[in-house]
Amino acid sequence: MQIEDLPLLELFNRLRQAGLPLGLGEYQLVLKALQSGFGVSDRVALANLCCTVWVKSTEEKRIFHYHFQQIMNQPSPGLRSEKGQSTQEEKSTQEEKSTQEEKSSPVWVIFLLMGIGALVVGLSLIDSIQLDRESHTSPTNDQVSTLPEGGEPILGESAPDSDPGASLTSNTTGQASTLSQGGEPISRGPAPAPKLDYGNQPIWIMLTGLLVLILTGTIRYVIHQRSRKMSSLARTAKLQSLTILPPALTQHIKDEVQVARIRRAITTGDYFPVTRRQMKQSWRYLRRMVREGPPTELDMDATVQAIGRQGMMLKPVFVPRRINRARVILLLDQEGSMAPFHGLSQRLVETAYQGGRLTPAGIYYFHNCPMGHLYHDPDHQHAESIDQVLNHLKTEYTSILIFSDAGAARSRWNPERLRSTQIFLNQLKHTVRYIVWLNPMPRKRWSGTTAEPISSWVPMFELDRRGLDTAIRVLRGQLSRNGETEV
Amino acid sequence: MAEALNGQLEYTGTKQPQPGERDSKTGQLLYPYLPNPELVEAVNLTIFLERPLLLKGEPGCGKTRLAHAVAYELGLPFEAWYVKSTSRARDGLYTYDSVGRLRDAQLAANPRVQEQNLDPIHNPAAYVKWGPLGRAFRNPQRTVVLIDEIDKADIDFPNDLLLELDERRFVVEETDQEVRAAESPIVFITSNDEKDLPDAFLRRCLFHYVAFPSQERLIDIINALFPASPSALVDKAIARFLQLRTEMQKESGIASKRVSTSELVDWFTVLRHYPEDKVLAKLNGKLPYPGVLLKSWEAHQRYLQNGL
Repeated sequence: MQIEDLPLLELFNRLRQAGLPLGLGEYQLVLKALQSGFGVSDRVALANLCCTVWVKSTEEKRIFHYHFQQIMNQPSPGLRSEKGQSTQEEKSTQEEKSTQEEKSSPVWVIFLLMGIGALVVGLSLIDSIQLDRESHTSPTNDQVSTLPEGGEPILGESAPDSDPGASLTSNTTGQASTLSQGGEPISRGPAPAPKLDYGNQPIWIMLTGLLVLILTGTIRYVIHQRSRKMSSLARTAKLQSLTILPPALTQHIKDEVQVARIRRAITTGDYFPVTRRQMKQSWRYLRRMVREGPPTELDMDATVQAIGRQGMMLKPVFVPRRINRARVILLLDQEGSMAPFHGLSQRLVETAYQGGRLTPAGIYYFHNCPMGHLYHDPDHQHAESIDQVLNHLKTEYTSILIFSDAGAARSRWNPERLRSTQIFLNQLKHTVRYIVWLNPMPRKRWSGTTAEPISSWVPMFELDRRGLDTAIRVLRGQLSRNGETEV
Repeated sequence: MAEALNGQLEYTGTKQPQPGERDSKTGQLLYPYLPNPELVEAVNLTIFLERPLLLKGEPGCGKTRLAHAVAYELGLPFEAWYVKSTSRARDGLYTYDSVGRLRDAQLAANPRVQEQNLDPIHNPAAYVKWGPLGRAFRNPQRTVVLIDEIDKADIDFPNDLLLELDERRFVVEETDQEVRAAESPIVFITSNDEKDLPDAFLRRCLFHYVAFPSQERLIDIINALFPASPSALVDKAIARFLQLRTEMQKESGIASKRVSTSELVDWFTVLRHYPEDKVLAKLNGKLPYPGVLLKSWEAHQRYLQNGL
């Protein structure tokens, strides 16, 4: 296994896309370690090495292992273990061929028989005199006439022969497989079906003779293919006993489609406008540094001044440390129109917890608009009256963040809701200085809904990176309510 | 790997202290430490790449002990920095005794103080008191440094250490003295995941999740800690312990506290004090000495009432 052949860069890029905080330095570290003999013994050792250097949490570990499996299972040189590398690939392509043939050839035969049957009946009605000759030739006629309709050959790669009979079969088998999978083949444009001119007998005889030839050719080709398939199957069976990993390719392709879907979900995260990492970064800005607690820090300036005043040092002057007192209370709208955003609100809660800005008592839930009570749980079981909640607030450093669509999600104008929201906000403003409203709906959807007047009462922002940052600045008291810097 | 580490330090996890052996400096009892192969590999990467190793895992699974074990096996000096909620990044490097200097300056004005007692006043560097990381940097020998429970400090704490861990140098601001690490220290950082660490800090660390040991490893650990324990007792106690642990896992999910290796060791210490047949009989019935393992009233109620 050559280090240069390992798809490490691809793995690294994928992990970066998946949101792992990695820099070029980390990539170089892995190379450096590999060159010094770490993680070269086998695949597990390599995974462990990359994992140690690139992964920083158990969550990321899952992402890593997913991508590692993905990339290391891709057939490309240098990935497979040294032994049986070429045989494995050879085998897999052969298997691909054989499985597809296996699928298509019985269908092909059935199709042919059906075509013969249908044409026998059809033509016997048209021309009873030429029946004995026609019954033999017309099925091939139909075969040819339907050929262009069948569309592109799917099995193009399976038979790179120059034999016209062979290319015909590949066409027909392709058509057959489309038929078996998707029902009727979609015709692309008018089919140039050969005109059956019964009046012109010599031409007709020539044509049928030609078609008989083609038909016999195809039948021979099919028989030939079958025998080839049998031998290749025998060979694969032999190879299977030799190599350890037999990737069933039909299944592989299906899996790959599914995996491609999953991968998209993982790399781009989701449709959320703010990633978890960005949220955490934004929360970090929410700080209100206050000197509080026991005096432990020496105040040098004050001490020197005291000495100057007193003529000698009686005692040093201590001050409390500066600690961050910023606290936030989250009020989350649940259910109804907010149901699609539950994941988003959950993420807000989690990131605020991890940033240490939120205490367990700091989350309350409501539906549409708080009326009299707020709830401790999303299911609205443990209620607490709004007055009680507000009384317990250490209002000096506590701010409130409301996460609700304010009626914008369903474009509603509900005067009742508007009135009770106003009452609630007024109640809040008496005790809390900084209130901010995050709306999961984009700003352009607010107009004409209850969100519009509400956004004039409290600073309301849509929940994207910029909106969240601005909201946090409002909570810190840096911005006035209309979004301008406070002097 | 041995060929890769020629001339380098290599940790194998096989050299263990003898029972009853004490640390030559602190006089503390030393215990054997049995790491799994992945952890050994991670430690060797740490030594080779000269990056700090961030260790996470359940409480009591041996994150802190690892640093001791590495220092013991490699015979290196050991510095521990136990982070508190009030810790600042600079405390680990040095503290400056400004008050002492101020006091000395005042004393100098007093004619009764002898001249030789005032020597330090002419030397501002004499008031610098080195922290664990500072001592490790100044030590000409490579040092094992443990930064324990880094998540207890403020979220800015790790960011303030970036330069020091990256470039392995710092400046004493009071004296303008620059300290450069002669040998880059082997740094172990433990975290209980109470707070998220900043990305910039994480980027510079290697990471290893210390997994809970398997049953065989638990038996090895107990045998290493308590040699000559009857194997029937060890097997029975560990089986009982794991039963409790899986039960806890099943019922309360991942979030709540589960019994850990260190609690198993404590529990076994208690069990050993009693005659073997008696303890074996007890292990078959109600959980003996539950106070060692169950740390909440809910757990007591749940696991004792069920007769588990």
